[in-house]
Amino acid sequence: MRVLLGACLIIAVSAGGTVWGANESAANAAPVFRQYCLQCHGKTATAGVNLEHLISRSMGDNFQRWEKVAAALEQKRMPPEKMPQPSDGERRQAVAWVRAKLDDFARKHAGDPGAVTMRRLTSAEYAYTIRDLTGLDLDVERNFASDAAGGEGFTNFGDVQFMQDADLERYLEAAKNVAAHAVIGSGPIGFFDDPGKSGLELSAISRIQKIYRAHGFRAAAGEGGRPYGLDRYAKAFHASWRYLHREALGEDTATLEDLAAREGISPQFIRHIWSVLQQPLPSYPTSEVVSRWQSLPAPVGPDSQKIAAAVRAGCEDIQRFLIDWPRWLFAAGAMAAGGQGDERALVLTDASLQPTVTHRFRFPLRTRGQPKARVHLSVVSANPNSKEKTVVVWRNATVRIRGTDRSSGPAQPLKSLLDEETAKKLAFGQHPDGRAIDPEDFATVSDSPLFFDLPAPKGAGGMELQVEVGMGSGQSGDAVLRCTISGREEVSEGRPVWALLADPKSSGFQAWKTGVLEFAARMPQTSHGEPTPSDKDPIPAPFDNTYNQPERDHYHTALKYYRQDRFLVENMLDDATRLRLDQAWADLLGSFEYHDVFLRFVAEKYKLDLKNKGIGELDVAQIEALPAEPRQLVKDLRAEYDAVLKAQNAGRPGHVGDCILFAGKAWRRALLESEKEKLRSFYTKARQEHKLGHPEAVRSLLARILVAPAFLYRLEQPAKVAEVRELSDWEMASRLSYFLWSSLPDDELRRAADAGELSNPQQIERQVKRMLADPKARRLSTEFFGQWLGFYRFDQYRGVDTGRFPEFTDEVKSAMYDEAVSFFEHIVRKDRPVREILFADYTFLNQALAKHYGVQKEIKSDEAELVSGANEFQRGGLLRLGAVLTATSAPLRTSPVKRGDWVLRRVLGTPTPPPPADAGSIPADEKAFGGLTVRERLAAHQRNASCANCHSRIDPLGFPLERYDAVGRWRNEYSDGKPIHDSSDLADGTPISGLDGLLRYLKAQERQVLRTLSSKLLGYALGRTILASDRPLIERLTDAGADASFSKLAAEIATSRQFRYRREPAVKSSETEGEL
Amino acid sequence: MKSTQGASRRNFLRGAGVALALPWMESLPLRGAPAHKPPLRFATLYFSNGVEPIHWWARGSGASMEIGPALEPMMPFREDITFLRGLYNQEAVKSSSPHLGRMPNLLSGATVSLDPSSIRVGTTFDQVLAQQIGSKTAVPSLVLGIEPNELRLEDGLSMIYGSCISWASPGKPATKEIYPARAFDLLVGDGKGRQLDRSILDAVLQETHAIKPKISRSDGQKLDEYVESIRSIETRIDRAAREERLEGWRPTLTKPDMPRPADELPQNVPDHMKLMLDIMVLAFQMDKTRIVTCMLNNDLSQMNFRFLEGVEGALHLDLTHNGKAPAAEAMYLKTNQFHVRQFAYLLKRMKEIDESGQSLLDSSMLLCCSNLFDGDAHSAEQMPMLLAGRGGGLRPGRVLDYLDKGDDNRRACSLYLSLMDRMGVQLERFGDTGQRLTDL
Repeated sequence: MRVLLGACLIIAVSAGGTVWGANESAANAAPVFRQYCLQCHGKTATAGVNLEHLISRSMGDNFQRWEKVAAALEQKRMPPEKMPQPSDGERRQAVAWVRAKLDDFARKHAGDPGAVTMRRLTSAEYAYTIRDLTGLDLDVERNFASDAAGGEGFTNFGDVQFMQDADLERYLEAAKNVAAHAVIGSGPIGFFDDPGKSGLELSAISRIQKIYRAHGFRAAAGEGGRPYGLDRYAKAFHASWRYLHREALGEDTATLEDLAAREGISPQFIRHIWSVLQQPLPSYPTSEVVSRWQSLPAPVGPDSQKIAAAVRAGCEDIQRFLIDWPRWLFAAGAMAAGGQGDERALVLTDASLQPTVTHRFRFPLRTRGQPKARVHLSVVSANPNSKEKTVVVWRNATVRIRGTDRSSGPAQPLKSLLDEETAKKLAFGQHPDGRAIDPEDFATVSDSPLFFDLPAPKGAGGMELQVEVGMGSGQSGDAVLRCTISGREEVSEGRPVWALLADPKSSGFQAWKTGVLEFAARMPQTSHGEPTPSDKDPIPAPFDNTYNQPERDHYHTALKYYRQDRFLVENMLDDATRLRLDQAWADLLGSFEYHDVFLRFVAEKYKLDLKNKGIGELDVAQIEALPAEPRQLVKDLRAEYDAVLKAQNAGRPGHVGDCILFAGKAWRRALLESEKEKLRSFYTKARQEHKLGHPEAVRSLLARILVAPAFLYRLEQPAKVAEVRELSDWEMASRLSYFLWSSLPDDELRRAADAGELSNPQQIERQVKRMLADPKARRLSTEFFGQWLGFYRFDQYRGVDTGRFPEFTDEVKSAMYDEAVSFFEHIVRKDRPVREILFADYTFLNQALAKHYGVQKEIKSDEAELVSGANEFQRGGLLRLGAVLTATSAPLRTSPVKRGDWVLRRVLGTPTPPPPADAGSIPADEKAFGGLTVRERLAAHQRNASCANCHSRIDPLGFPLERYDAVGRWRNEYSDGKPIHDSSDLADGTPISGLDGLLRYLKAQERQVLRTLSSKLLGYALGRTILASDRPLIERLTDAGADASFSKLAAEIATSRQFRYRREPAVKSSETEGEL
Repeated sequence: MKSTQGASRRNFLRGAGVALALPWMESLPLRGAPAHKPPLRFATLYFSNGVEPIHWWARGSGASMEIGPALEPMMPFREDITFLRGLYNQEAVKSSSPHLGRMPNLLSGATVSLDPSSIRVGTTFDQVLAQQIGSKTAVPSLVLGIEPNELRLEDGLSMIYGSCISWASPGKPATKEIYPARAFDLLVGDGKGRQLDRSILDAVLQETHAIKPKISRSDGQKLDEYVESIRSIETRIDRAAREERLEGWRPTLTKPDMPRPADELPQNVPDHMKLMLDIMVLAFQMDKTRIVTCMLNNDLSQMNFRFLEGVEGALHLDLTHNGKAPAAEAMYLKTNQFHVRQFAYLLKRMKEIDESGQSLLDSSMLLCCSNLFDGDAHSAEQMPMLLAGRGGGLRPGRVLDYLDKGDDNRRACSLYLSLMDRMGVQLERFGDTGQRLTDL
């Protein structure tokens, strides 16, 4: 074994090429290194650099170190001043040799995909993947503890992704948690925020609501019932009018459905309304609608626009009539307008149309300190088919006067309180036809409103009028009268009391009622404001729907739901939607013992002894033996119960198939037939061996899919030894989606993979552009930019001493995080030139953050919004991001070293080596500096030669940011009042003054900044460290320049050979290291 | 674990730098305690960033032992501790990385790979123990911590190094549990009612076997971690369901005597640490595991010690590197004392628990240590180490000074070899030495 592995290693090394090859220039360069470098950078490995070691290894494996060596020589940073210096010629020679070797290597190996350790989903990727799979934000990754950063500084680096039983336990738990959120009902499997049974119930409600909401309304109204979505009527009348006049309008071939679509209403609905309008002999009040529609102007005449407007207005009038009619009939006053405050259901039903022959009114009168109160009496015929005027007699009218202390006086005859003139107007004791009636009574004629003033005695708090009204003897039985008493002439504005007077047995009334109910059924006038199947509904007959009565309350707590959407189902929904609605209702009613509870409810009301049987246990004979009224109820209930069971059973066979589809998505590829079979048999086994019910078995199947290696790991087919292999379309789909979205491929990517498009660079580029514009590309901001630039999970940052900086609240912290993430999201999704990363003149602030920064700009929102012209107030661009400035500070003060190091390392990509162990430190707190500023302290530190080499590179890049304090705010002096010096000199003497100076410097170093961006983005995309062979690609990306849009870089990477191909490691070093 | 023992043994051998697979490994003498005597337990309590040298010393012995101010919480326990002076890891001292090159190898003495593309240290001796004798208990070992893995690089190196002192193999840290509730669940999980989990795991395990031939060898190696994880869980489920015990001794506690901790991470550090220490004691008392490693903080920890009166700022940047400012030094001392106080709490609790006439501490070996001595100077030439308990024949109440005994005679790995011997795992070499610690 050892021999074999050793042999492999030799092959690997020779393939890579050792540095000291048979090379002529080597002969010249070697003495330079030997003479000037090896004393420190030989076995002693000062700063961890051992050139002897490097020389003996492959150039490609250590190219970054070699680049640093070349740069240090070139910039004369090495050897240190106190040491003997090589001549310029010697320097050039050594540098040229290193560069030539590197170039040579890079050229030879350009585009090498490199060895990428298989990746597991990071916890962020896991969460995003679950979110995209289920549509839910379940926070399942909260307890994952297995992330670590590696490679180019990212968590998506396979070598730092470990798996142990504790991790797998968490995955198993998370998978079961996700599966618990599956909605397993009568339709296809879905996912919902709440798990289990309550998830089924709530998801059903939300699905039902969605359908109700989308289609406007349904024909039920309860508490607060008010018009909702009824604008469809005007549209339907309008479409019908256009259809009627289609020839005149030059649209001979237009169908009803076409015209409906133009109005945005469903074909079912227009067909229904059209049929109503085409009825030959409509009954009242439908006839009113029809005749109004028929009298809409025809589209003839010169001014077609005017006609069109008139028709539109006319249609709206008809709609208004339609809605207002019941309100008129029920004399619903101002309180009912819009339903606010009126808890009556203005529903036209057999029960609500129950008339009386006589009615006793009690009408409270408010005097409001006025000397008199006006009373309007109105008797209006509600039945236009009854032609005769009707006389009603008002009997036994009395008034009680209440004192201001609310005490009530004795009832006094009305007549005794009226002045003579008024009494005369009311004609007490006289029938209009001249007959005498009781001297205390008076009579009125329908459709002749009457008012009188009732004097209010001084000190009266209010009065109450009581009077009985009834039709005069010998009146026509056809009359249907709406009687009201009101304080206003227009009853709809006051708080009227009213009654419907008619002879319930008369054929005239019966015909009228039939007409009204037809009207209500064909063109329902009220519906819920909020489309809910829940407790705002009136409970069904024959139960007592009186507000606050036990029966209604009990119904609402125990049964909650009652389906009443016949109109919607029959006249508005297409077949597919109807099916979904039926399924949702089946899920809702099947989510608990609805029918059994209902049965008990019926049994209680009718005192039936059902021996505690459930609805499913009753046989036909038992049901038939029930009394007539409950029998019908129970029959209906049983039918509904059976339908729910049937729907549930009908759904089941599809669920395993749904799981298989789910697995295909989750595993990010097409499944093999054998894999599908295994999933099916897992389900069968769960049912049979583990005796699980259907929903539980489906859930365990889902959980099993989500702990599979194909889900947790990003598996790819291997390349042959010493070869590279082009990735398959499916593998490309995953690489793209995890690169840009940190999640699985969406439907479009899956389609493209299936169609074989993802081996085509143009298609890849197209997908990249599309994906970057998608909201999911925000994740590139959190994952890539956040990790690269050090604000990853800044919302959980704990590095600020909030005792010192109480202003740094959680709110400010999360706003800073949002600022940074939104900023890069903007660059990514709006495809901005990458120059803006440093030089943007905008940023993203919410109210709290603007306040924290002291920005004098009005920002209303709690959400981050784009604020332009930000440079004016010291904001905009990466360097001025609060999250960055804070994360590069110490808990109690700013740290020019941390900030300088951050610029050097993260922005310029040219970090210094780690400090020597005994570097020493400066105090934590700027208050503890003994009168010295940070700068003065650091200057002392720099005088130490071993520190100077690095700190002369680090510190000058940190000082220019000193005007931002440790929590990212602009400041003009230190807290002790000392002035801030934010200028410095770079090691080569270049002065940098303040932030603008730093930006100018970085502008001059633009290529280096772009190179860093490119390397990091490439490292992130590939999940590995950068190789020497990546240099040509990185140079290409860098060449694109600062004006290149972000998508250009991303597309260049996504179409690169590195990204599209794969090779295996020659030999895994871990196999050999221990034994050699 | 059984079926993978071969593989993991190979791993640990490689990582621990053992020259060859030795034949005696097949018949490891499991020198456990005789029946009816409590078994030997071992725990490590780690704190990061070292100490201030002038505060960390001890002289004399027994009840009259004098100790430095950092050790002040040890006053009542001077007869229970062995103060070890001068132990070090050679590879740590050699490493050019002042933090990450000197921390993850604390318990292995291995070299830390400074190649950014290769995470590699060495199997730590607690995990060697877990792999060798962990199968005697329901949980092979507990690896606990307070702070999560830090998601960044430090000087180009993954902070996974700074977040883990316990390594299951050279390339893989042992998963550190920072959630008290989860650690608790590990101890009380009964294995019953997990049959469905088992069938899920069985199914994915089969699937993995089907996949393995189709992926590359290196991917397959990565997938082995997954396979091993499944097997460990399955073993644990089975073992918990069986509840059988090979030895005659019965633990004094069969059910937890503390409530299950809340699911969330505790809000403040002292509560969090106390919970973890209680769980440690619980694990020992119920004999659910005999090997525990607990990190009170990560390397380079910025843990905020504001909960200590008069202390402000973060541990690493403000307090460890305090510029020798007197006020900051005083705060740093308080943090050192706080860490030692955690150890004292552990000792106190274990001393109070009676097991067949002796305390739990009497059958334990507890190590409290950091990887640096002078935290400010990152010096690893010696490490602060404190041993407690009488388990395995330790004779506490002594100060053992190795500093001037010559570098070969003061290896931390010698201590580890000696401790492993007592736990019943005898290796010829470990880390940078083949020598046992003298006088222990």
